[in-house]
Amino acid sequence: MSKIATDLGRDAIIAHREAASGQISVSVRDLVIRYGAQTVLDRMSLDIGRGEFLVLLGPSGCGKSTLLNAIAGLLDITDGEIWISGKNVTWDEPKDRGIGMVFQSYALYPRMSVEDNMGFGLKISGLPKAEVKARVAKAAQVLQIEALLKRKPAELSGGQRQRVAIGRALVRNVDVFLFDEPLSNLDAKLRAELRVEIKRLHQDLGNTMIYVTHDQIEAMTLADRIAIMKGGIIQQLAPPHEVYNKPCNLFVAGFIGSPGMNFLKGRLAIAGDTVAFDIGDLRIPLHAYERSGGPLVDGAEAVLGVRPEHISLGDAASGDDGGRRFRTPGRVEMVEPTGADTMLWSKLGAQSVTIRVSADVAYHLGDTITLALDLNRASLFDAKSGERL
Amino acid sequence: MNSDVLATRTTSQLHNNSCVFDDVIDRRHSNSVKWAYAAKLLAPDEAAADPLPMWVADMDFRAPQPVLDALHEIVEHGVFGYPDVRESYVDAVVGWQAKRFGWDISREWILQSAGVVTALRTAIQAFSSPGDSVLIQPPVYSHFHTDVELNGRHLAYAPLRRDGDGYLFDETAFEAAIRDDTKIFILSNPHNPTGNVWSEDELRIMADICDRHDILVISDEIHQDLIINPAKRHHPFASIGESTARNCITCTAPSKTFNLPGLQSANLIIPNKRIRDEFERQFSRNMATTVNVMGMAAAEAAYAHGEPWLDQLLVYLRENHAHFANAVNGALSTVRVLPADSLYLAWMDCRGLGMDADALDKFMLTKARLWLDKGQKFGIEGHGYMRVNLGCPRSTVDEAIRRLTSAISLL
Repeated sequence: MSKIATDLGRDAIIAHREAASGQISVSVRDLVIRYGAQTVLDRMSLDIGRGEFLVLLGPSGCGKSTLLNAIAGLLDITDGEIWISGKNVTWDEPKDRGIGMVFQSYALYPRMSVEDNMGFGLKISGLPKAEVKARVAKAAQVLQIEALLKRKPAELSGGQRQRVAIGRALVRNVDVFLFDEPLSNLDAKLRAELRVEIKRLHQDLGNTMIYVTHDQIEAMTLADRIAIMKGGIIQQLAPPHEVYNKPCNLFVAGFIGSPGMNFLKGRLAIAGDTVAFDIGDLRIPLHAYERSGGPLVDGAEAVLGVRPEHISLGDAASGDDGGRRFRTPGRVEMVEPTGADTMLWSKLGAQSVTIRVSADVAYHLGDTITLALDLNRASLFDAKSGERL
Repeated sequence: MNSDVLATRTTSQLHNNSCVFDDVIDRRHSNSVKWAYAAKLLAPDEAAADPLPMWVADMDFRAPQPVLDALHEIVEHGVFGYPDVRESYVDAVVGWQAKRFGWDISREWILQSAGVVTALRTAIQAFSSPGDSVLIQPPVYSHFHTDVELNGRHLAYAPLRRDGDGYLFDETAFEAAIRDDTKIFILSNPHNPTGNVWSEDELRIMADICDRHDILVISDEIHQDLIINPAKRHHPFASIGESTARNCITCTAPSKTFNLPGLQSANLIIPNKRIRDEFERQFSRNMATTVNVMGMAAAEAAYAHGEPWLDQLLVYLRENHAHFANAVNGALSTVRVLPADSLYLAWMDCRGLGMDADALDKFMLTKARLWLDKGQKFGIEGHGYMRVNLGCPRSTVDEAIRRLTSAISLL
């Protein structure tokens, strides 16, 4: 979207967006957030579709929480507009924006029952008692916490408390839910459990959800699209598989995936139509590489990115696969079993790589192996700009 | 305190005069720990939220003009040689205690220190041994906790009792907390953060109990000038009686009163010569005792000529507190700003939000976008509370109210 914004100019963008407005739930338009001399977000534009699950992902200080706070109305923006459900809410109070927010802390009122906790905000806003009760009952049903309604927060487990906290947002009957790292305080098992819950909730309700996290697993499993942010800029906005398989730059490539993508440093070697990648004495032919970025320049420094699962171990003499795989000998330098998979460390040329292999085969230190790089799945980046080539 | 009456009176007073305390001064570009060091002192996500600083106890006001004039005079002179204690300095300190609190002090009782915290540490070292205990009344100022432990002493806790909207001194709990090895009681007078202004009777009971157990009293009276309830009066602990004076180190400073904390100037008033001498010896073991010439000049000018400024300030602070408490308590049923008789600091009970102490702090920083002092700094009794610094222009208070109520409206 930000690319469209740059190419078309303001009027054209507005026209484009108005045309699509039926499908757009939240629209961030040329948003600027500045604190004194420091610019946190600089003319950010982003449209979030109706019913979309968008995850804002990035390291601490990348601007993801600032963006969420701006959408929620918790901070004054320097310039730009925020539209929610077709209405300009830029200057509206948070409670008037048609949003529900779920915070990292459970923030349940300790002296109130679950039922009263869920209905408290509605009661304060003056909604009739019967309506409050009906909405709480419906939300409890959706969240499967009907049996807990009379309990106090102290009598609930961490997961149940977070469900109630979600329930509090749910009863507001809003179009858009904002989640601010809702699972960060939970242990790994509970986090996985509630992740599934939130996904189910999204499937059942179909509301727009904007979800901030620094956890890439949450992002990959929940999102329709992920916005990966760094330094206040959305680096890539795409569905999870695209972010994973076609990262737009070295930052995204390195941020997503665990263990991380292998980065091999080398130079491009171009002769006529043939493209190769030189790592020292090793020449990797790249005719199977699907170019998606800038021009390939002979002799330019570049980085070849290969995920650990895209290096397989095979027989050096195995059959021709049309040059899709590049084979080279290696030696096992470390074995790291993780249960389902095993990670092997080996040299490729003079550089270290990690290889993800099945745990069914036993490998030992010093084993001679043949590495087979799947070049169809590899990514090539310009070493200087870090951009995908 | 009837805050409505006060609010009406003070508002009309303030609106009739243009008020220096309404001026918003940009402190982000000054060397201010409160305003300029978020990136260093907070986690990245907290700093990124650009929270409004209303934490550490310094105010956002310029010092009184006589203080600025005194400092200008020294700068113009341009020679910054070693100072001694001027007679006029001592006159100012003695005069201040007499006219504000009716306490006649002898000139030789006064020692200088770079700050009350420096004096606390010195007194702990001088009058107790490692392994001894020091009595405090939490929730109370963080240095009462940390400086005792830093010196290898233990804490004996006599918590104040929360009662309705306030805190009470509990005589029984106080005496029960004393152990055989309790050597010192650090009194916060008036009490930071609850704002309690202790009555003569309460102070006398504390004094009697400490006398009985041979416990030295360090009375931290740094907030003595900031009584915002006109019906209350500050009593210097040592002024209660002769025996009390003999068993007490009183710590005072112009730093909170006139907003001079960066100038590092405090006074200790120690009537008992033996205690005073030993205190001085401990001081000398650790450091050169000369104080900064600028701080001393500022303190003298403040005490000698700053009273009209202070009287105006107290009206403004009273109104700030009433305004903040009325707005927050009126808008939110889950947060309660407790009434206070003193301090420019509000003690806010946020336990109704149901967040644990760390989550509450994070919520305030990143969602309400307010940088407050977290209650846990004041002891376990402070969990679920926040201390809000209202020594700021009214517009800052209004912004804080807006941020707080907006964020909580989304819960």
